[in-house]
Amino acid sequence: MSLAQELLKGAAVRAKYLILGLASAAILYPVTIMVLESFDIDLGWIFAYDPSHPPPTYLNPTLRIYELALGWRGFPWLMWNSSLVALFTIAISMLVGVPAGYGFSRFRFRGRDSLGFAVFALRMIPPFAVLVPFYIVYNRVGLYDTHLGLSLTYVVLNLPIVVWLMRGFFSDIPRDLQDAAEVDGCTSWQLLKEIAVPLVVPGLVSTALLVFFLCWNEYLFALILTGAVKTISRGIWEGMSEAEETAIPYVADWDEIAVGGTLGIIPSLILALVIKRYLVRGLTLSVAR
Amino acid sequence: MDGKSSIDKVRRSRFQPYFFILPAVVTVLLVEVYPLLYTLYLSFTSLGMRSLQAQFIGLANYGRLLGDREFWASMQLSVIFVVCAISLEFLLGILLALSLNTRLKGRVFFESILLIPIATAPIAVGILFAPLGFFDDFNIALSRLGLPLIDLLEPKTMMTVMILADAWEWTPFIMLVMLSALQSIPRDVLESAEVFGASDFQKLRLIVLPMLLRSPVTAFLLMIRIIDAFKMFEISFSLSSWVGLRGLQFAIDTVTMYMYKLTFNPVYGWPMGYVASISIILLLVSITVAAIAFKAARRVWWIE
Amino acid sequence: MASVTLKHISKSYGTVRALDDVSLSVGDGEFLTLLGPSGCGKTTTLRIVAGLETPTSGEVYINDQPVNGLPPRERDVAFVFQSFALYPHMTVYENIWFPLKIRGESLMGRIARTKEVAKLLGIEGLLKRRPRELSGGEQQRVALARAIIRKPKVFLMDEPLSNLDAKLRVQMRVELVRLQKELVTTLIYVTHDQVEAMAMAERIAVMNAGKILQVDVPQKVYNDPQDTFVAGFVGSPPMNLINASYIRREGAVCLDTGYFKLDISPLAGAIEEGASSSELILGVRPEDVKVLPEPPLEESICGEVYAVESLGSEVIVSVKLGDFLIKAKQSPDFKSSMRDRVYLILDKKKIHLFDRKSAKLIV
Repeated sequence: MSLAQELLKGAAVRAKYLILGLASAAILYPVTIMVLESFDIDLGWIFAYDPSHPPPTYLNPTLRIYELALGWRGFPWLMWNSSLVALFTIAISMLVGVPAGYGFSRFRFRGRDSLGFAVFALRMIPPFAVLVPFYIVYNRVGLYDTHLGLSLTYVVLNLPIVVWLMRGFFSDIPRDLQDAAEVDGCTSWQLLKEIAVPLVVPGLVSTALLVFFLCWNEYLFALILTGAVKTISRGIWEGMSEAEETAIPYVADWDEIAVGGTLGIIPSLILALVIKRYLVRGLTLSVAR
Repeated sequence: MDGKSSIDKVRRSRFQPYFFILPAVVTVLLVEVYPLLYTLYLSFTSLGMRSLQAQFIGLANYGRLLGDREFWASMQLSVIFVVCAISLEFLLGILLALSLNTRLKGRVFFESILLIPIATAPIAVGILFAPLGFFDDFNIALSRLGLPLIDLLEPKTMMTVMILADAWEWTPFIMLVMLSALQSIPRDVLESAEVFGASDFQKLRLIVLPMLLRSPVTAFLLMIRIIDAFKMFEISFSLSSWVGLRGLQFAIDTVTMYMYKLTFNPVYGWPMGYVASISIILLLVSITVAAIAFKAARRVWWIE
Repeated sequence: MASVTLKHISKSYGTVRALDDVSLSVGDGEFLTLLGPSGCGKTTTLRIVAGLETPTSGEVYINDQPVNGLPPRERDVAFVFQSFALYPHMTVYENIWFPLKIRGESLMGRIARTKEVAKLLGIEGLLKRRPRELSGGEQQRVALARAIIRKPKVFLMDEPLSNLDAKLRVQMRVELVRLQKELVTTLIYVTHDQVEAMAMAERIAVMNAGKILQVDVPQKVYNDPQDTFVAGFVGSPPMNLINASYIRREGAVCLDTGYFKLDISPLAGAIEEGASSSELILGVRPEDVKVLPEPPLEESICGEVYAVESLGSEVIVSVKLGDFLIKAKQSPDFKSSMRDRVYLILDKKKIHLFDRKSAKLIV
């Protein structure tokens, strides 16, 4: 390779590092500010750095708000609520969505394409379109302010994704295996249970994770359809300590929010890092299929 | 022979696929379609907190929609937001994917950092970006450096910040998808190009980018992002409600925010019927556009 | 143990006709091979018998009972796939007893039967392993075990040996034939390898382009091909096929190929009866052609050596006759080199004449 090409090659790599570095900085910067704020550090002083002024006493980080947040009806309780809702949602949507995905994948039937489009179209429903009816109906049925109620709305929100993904995963199973199972005597349901599902377990995990993240982070429905049952997303906004239940969203002080935000990110981030591989697969496949 | 005739069996097996789909369909019908139908009904009424009776008023709500300048303004803002945000996200996403697609040291480190926005709740994203302008402190720093100040109450600034926030949140997602698409480009195509003497840049321009941009993956990603971007709520909500007067005054209104205001701000009188009609119209437009896009996309993108 | 009958089976995929009016009868306990090139419809036929595909028209009978609408699991057939189709997430034990498990047999019963079958196929030692740990041959046997365990009425095998290496293939051929004879079960076997078909089958059904061309015992398929396709497909190297015209002149009757003439007076009657025109195709197998370096006393054809392939046990000589190439089998001590002038004698008792439109006439 000529010298020019050598230099260029090095430059390309360096450029990549630069881009990635900038991106990382751009990502970390807001997060860092929020984290710092959560410790009640006065960033104002930092920004207006003036060596002539002595550092104010409140520069020291405190855990004051953290103490509040982790106390009674604080963060752990919010985590519990969110987890419960997520669990219900995952259970129901997988129970319902996996057979549907299998049905779409395995059979050729009339209306398959239009039903498939309809499933896809579910995503297009503006949340506000169903918010008010949900509120009214839930109140009447007694599902208002319950974990199950919120889960149900999330189930419908997630169903297109679950069906879509599982359809893709099931389609990956070689035709021969399914034929062999049929000849061996399986009914379609037996096929699903004994052969298809065991073979797509990684896909199941990826899908379940995607559902989990959506439940964890959703705000609007949680806001409207729950009062006492507060999820993490609401907790971030309304402060981690026990907040008033009002229809109009209550907004907490900035530092409380910072704490909320920081705490809120932690479980998601840990989970994401630990299951990175499955998560990435799920995300990419949710589009690739 | 056994009791059931073969005709019965054929008939039974033909309905089988529907049984698999049934639970999903029933769930959707109950939980989503029913409320939707209710909304449809509402859109023809004058239900509001003021008049607790739902009186049938025909297409009056829709007519009101046509003349509602606030609505159209918000629509315009939404469109601007979607176009800018998505362009930015895709641009950056592809760029990052290309950068990450090599054997770099510290690749895992970068990947982990890029996961953060995906793990962050959207409502928190708005918060993350708020300090940029609200704190006079930041502006103080800027002024000392001689740079113009950032005023978040200014609509243009707010919109920019919203777009940046959305990009912050979604670019990693797009990057991940693009990365896997990149990695699925068959290596022998690139190798044969190299044998023919193509430089890295040429390979990028003539093979990688076209394959990437024309794959059905990109098409789907684009569609999904557009749909979601129109529905974006948390970012604008958290940014503007916090920046403006605490309460229900917002510095910028996209369509979702407009609907939110209509639903919760007493100033408007809680016109539920009207809100319902907006929802219906939005839904119809989305479906129509999607259906057209599906058909048109078959040409531009491979297969699909 | 059952007979299988196909009546006028046709299968179309959209505009593509995969099977065109296929009718076939397989006797109880018979080993029948469907032979043909890729895409001829043999696999489709097999799948239709299994119930994995439904015919566009026609009926399928197993033991004289119509099975047209029945799904595979109610037909009591077993299918062995080219790819073996072993369930990767199950052990060999579970793979083999799967058909029994689905039908609700008890665990003790399953274990006993599996051990029986495994012993028959010599794979007892592999029972606790998983498919990915097995070699091709071992996977093959597991697939067979799974098929056998139910004692089905019919075995259906779709090129089961294609994925094995050559040596193993030859070995398994013998074993399969033995197995079928021991189990006395009807077997329909699909392959594109005519050597396999010839070696294994009781009867061969040759297929091409969705049609069955000839169904016969191997020897007759070889010696009496009904069709130029069958003639050219079976036998290695394939039968030489040359266009020829039938000429009757001055009381003498001969075949004119354009390059040489062949006197065939004794066959004149049969030809005139069976041919639709005077355009015929002359067929002669390489082993019925003798190549001599010197012109012999009898009628012979002169040609030039084009290529010589030495296979150890025999030598294949390609001789150029004008525009065509004739292949001949010679004994290993045949010596010749390119461009040598040689003389060919065709065994007139063994030539085949086909109407240009592919009907066959005489031996």
